[in-house]
Amino acid sequence: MAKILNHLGYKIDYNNQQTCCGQPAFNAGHRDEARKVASRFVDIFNSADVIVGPSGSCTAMIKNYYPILFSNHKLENEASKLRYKVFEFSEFLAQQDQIKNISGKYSGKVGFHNSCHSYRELGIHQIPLDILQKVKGIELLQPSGEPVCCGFGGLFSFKFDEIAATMAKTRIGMFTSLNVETIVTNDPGCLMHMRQEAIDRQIDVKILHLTEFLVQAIKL
Amino acid sequence: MNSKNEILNRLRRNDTADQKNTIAFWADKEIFIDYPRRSDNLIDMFEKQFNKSETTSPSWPQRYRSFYILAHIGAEISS
Amino acid sequence: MSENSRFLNQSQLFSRDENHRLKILKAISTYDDQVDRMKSDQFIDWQQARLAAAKIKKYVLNNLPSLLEEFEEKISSRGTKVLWARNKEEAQKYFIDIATQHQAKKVVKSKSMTTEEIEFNELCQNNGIEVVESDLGELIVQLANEKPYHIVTPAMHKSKSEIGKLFQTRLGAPSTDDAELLTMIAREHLRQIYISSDIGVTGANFIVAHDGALVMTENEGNGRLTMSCPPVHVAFVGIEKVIPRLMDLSLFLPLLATSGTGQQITGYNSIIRGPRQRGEIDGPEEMYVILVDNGRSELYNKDHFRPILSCIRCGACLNACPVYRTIGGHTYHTPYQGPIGSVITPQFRGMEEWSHLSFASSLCASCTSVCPVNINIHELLLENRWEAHQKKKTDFTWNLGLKMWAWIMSDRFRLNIVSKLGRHIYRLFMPILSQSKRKRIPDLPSKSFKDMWNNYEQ
Repeated sequence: MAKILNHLGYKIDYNNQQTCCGQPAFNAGHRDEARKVASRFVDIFNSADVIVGPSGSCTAMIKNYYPILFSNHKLENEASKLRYKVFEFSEFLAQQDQIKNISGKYSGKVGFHNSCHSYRELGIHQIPLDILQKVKGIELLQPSGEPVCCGFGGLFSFKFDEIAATMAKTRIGMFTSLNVETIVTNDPGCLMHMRQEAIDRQIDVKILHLTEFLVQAIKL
Repeated sequence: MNSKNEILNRLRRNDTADQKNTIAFWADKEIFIDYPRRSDNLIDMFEKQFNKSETTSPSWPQRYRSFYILAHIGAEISS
Repeated sequence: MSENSRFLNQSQLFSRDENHRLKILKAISTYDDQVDRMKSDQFIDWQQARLAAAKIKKYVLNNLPSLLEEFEEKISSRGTKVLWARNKEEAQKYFIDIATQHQAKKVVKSKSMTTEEIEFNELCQNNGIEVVESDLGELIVQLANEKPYHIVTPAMHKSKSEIGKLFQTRLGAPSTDDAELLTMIAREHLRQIYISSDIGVTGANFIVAHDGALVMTENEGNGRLTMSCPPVHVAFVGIEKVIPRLMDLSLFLPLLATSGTGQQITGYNSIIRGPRQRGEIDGPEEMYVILVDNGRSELYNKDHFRPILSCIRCGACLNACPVYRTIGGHTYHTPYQGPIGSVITPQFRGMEEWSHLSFASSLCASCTSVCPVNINIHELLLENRWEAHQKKKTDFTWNLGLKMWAWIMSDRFRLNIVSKLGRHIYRLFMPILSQSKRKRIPDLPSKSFKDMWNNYEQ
C-alpha cells in the first residue's frame, strides 16, 4: 500500500508504535479490553491529518464503532475526530480522485471479493471495481448478486472454524466457477482466511490483496 | 387483570409516549410504482394487483384466486 | 449436553454436509431471484419503503402500552375476549382453561411461531388434546416428528420425494412426488379436520390498534379455514405485533410479502374483527386473543434492544445469512432461528445457555441490509456479546486469551517480541482456541510490516 501511495505522489508517515484498533476484543464482547487498546490507537493517531489503512474492517471499527466504544469516555471527542480522517485504501484513492492515475498490466481472469465491512459498513461498492478496471488486460469476472461473506469474521473463524471453512469454500467456489484465476480482496482478514482454505483444499487459485495486486500490475 | 397491569406497567417504566398523536404518512408515489395505494379499504389497496395485466398468462387457479380474494375481502369488510 | 456443545456438534456436521448445503442454496436462490424481481417490480424505492415502515414501527413501540389498550377495547366491543399472558406458562394455562371450558379434544392450528415459542403442541399432547397442523409445511414437519426448519418455510429442507414417502407412510396416501398431487393429498386430509375440530388456533401477522382487528396473511388459505370453521378461535399474538391503523397494511402487507416470499402480496389476506356477530351465518361462535409477553416487555426496556421488537417475522434475515445457509435451521434448536433468533433467543431464554448463538456470526451485516423494517440486527448481536461478557458467560480460555491480547497490544515492545516469537506462540494456542478437531493453523508472514518499513525507501 505504501508503495502505491508513494507512486501516486504521497508521503507517508508510519508510526512504528502502533498496535491495533481494538476490533477483535470489541467483536468478542470484551469492550474494556477493546477500549484499552483503542485508546492507545487514538493517542497515536491523534496528530495525523489523514489515516489510510488497507483494511475495511479496521476502518469500519473506527468510523462506525468508536462512537459506541468511547461514548461517555474522556476520549470521546478525540475518537470522534478520527472518524473523519480515516480511510480504507480504495476509499482514499476515490476521495483523492486518484483512480484515473492507476495504471498497470495484468493479463488474466480476476475476481474481486469485497469484504463485508467494506461493502456494508463503509458503503464501498463500485470503487474497487473501478480501480481494477484501470489495469490493462484484466478480465474482471464478478459473481452475480451481493458479495457473500468469506467466513473470516475475526474470532468467529477460530471459534466456529468448521462453519467458517465451509463459508470460505463456498465463497471461493463462486469465483472458481467463473474460471477466475486470481481473487483480489481489500481486507487482510478475508485474504488470510481464503488463502488458508485454498491451501487446505488444494484449490488452484491465487488470492491477493488489492495493494499486492496493484504492485504486481504496476511493477513497483 | 393483574397480568395485564403488570405487562402495561413494565412497558410504561420508561415513558416514551410521543407527544404528537399523529403518525407521519408515507408518500405513496415515492415508494410504490403503482399508486395511490394507501387506503383502509382492502379492495382499493389491492386494486392494482387485480387489474394488472400479467406478463405471463395466468393459469386458471391464479385467475380464480384473484376473484376469490375479492369476494372474500368483500365479505370481511362488510362484517 | 449443553446447548453450546450441541450447537457446535451440529454445526460441524452440517458444515461438512455438501448435499444439505446445496439443497438449501437451491431453495434460497429461487427466493433471492423472486425477491429481487419483486423489489424492482413493485417499489420505486425499496429503501424508502423500509424507512417508512421503520418509522411506523418506531411510533408503535414508543406508544405500545396505549396502543395495546386501544386494541383490547376495540376488539372486545365486538365480543372477543382478550387475555394477557406474562409468560409461556400463563399463556398455556389460559389455553387449557379455554379447552376445558369447551371440552375440547381436537385442535386444528395454522402456522404460528408464537405457538412454537410457548410449546403449544407439547402442551396439547400432555393434556390429551389432539393437534393437527394445517399449514402444509408445518404439517409435513409434524408428520415427520421434526421441528420447523425455517420461520416462514418450515419444510424447505424436504424434497418432494421425501414428502411423498411421508404422506404414503403417515397418511396412507398413494405414492407420488408431484407437487400439485401432494398438495391435494394434504387438502383432502385437512378438509374434514377443519370441520371436526373443537378449537382453531392461529397466530396473527399484525394486530391493528385503531380498529381492533387481527390480520392474517397467507398463501394456502388454511389460516382462514382454521379460524372460521371450528366453533372457537384462539389466537396467540406477541405484544409487539401492533400496527396503528388499517391503512398501514397497504405498506406492511406488500413489504412482508416481498421480503418473506418474493410476492407482491400473498394469496389470502384476512382482517378479523371478531367472532360471529348477530345476524351473521358463519364464523366461530367465540374468539379469544391471548397477548403474549414472555420476555418482550423486558427487552423493550433494555437500551439498544427495543428496535428488535419491530420484527415482522418475514424470514429475510435467515435467507440472507451465510451462517444459516451453511448450518440450516435445525442447528439453532430454537423456534426463532437465524439472525433474529440469535438476538432474541439469548434474551428470552437466557444468556447462560444461549449466548453462543450471538457469537456464531461473522458479523457480515447481510441481515441488517435486508431487514424490511431497518433493524440493525448485527449490531444487536454485538450488544448481546457485550452483555454475555458482562454477565461472565464467556469462556474462561477466551477471557484469558483476550486479556493477554490486550496486554500485548498495549505496548509496541511487547508486540515486537510476540511478533518474533509469533509463529511458535500462535501454533501453541491455536488448538486451544479452535474448538473443533480440525487442526487448521494458518501461516503467519515471515516479516512484520515494521521490519519491512525499516528497509524501505520512500
